[in-house]
Amino acid sequence: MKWRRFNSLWILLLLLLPVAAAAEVTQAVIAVDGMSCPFCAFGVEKKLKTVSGTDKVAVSMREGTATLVAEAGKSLDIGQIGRSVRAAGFTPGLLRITVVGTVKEDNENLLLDVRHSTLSIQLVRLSPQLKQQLLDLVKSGAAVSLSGTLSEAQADRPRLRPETVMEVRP
Amino acid sequence: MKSDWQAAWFSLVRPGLRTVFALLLLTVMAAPAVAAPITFNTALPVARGEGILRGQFKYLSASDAGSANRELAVSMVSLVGVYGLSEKWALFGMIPYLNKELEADTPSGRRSREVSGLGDARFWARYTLFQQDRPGQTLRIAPFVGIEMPIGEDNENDFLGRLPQSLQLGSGSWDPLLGVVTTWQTLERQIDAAFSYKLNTAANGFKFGDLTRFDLSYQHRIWPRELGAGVPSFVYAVLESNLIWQDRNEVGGNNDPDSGGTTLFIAPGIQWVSKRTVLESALQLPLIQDLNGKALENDFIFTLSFRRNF
Repeated sequence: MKWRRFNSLWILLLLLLPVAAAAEVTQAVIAVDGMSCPFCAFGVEKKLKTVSGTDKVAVSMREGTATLVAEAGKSLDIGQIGRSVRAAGFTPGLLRITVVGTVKEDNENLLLDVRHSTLSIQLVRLSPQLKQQLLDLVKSGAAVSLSGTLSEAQADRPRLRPETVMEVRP
Repeated sequence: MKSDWQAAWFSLVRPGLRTVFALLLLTVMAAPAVAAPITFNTALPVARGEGILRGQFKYLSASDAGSANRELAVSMVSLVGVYGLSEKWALFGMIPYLNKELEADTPSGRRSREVSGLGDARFWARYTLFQQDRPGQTLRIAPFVGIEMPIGEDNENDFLGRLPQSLQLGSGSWDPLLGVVTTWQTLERQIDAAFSYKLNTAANGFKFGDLTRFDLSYQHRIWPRELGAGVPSFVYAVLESNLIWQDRNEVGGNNDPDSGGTTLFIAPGIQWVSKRTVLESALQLPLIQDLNGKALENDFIFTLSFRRNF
């Protein structure tokens, strides 16, 4: 009886782990240009709350940004973020995201395949040190959490300039 | 058949009313509903699919120093609804409830006439033509166009008979309006400027003079001095001015010499703005009144209002 209970806990733990790792785009910080009064900030916050996968939105007037945090087990739809800012009547600026995935090499380009998603992000403007770190991760196939700034997409592929890299335990 | 004192009352009262009511109606016209000036509209955005409600109370006092010692008091409660049709288009609708009371000395003593009820409704649309957003600041230019619909009763009577057209709750006419507003807003201050024109049409053999106005507003954040985290509430000190020109009214196709003119209001105010609510108050004081004939002069217009984001 004790053994069965232990097994159940172990299975439950195994089920929970992939759920936590599936939160692929876990956080996004968008610059909202033109937002300069509290009453207008409400519209921005309300629109960003409709972004798929969003749990919380926090607006900072001083920084002129809005931070989106993904719901547990869900990924933020980064394509919706800029559109939501525009729908609120403002102009989206730089978008910083934290994303989980695996790094692969493709024609001398480094790509991040976002896990449990078809999304693939090109990694650009890498320092030699960072590039080497990422190449090592290509070989190991380990999942990583990257934080950086998204730039304009090319050929429908978003481009990310990573600033921090953390290996994620499976 | 009017009695002598009725005729005397009319002769004393009629001339002055015409300017004042038109001014009040014009003041109502651009009732703003975004964080904005208190006495006119703004070019700031309304998010697509979202709404804002504004409730507004206005009290106007006007009088003259003539032999009739006329005193006019107008109270108005209006509701303004705003809807963001898209990030560029916003729709506005406003309906007022009015109480108008006029007192004057007549040969038979001091008399008053009073009327209450819904006034004319206004609907207008605003389009953001130019938008330049930068971190912590925005510059916008937005033309608007609308119509005043004759919802208010325009054939009210009291014990003296039919009220003069200027005392009626509604004009009875469909009156188009258009204008343009520009807004520059930063985290510390905001400047708005608006130019508008209202073409009054005739009804009941009467036509209010067309109205043109130029409005300016400066809002300065006085609290908090330093911005904290998140979305803090702001308190703005507000100073506005309203320059209003009104053409002469027409009665039976003829110009009324005791109507129209130019008025310049200055309006200090205060505004508390949070993420979902705005509370504000302003006092419009006439700095210059260059009115035609025996038109009544404004003493002041007091405004108290709130706005709520939905």
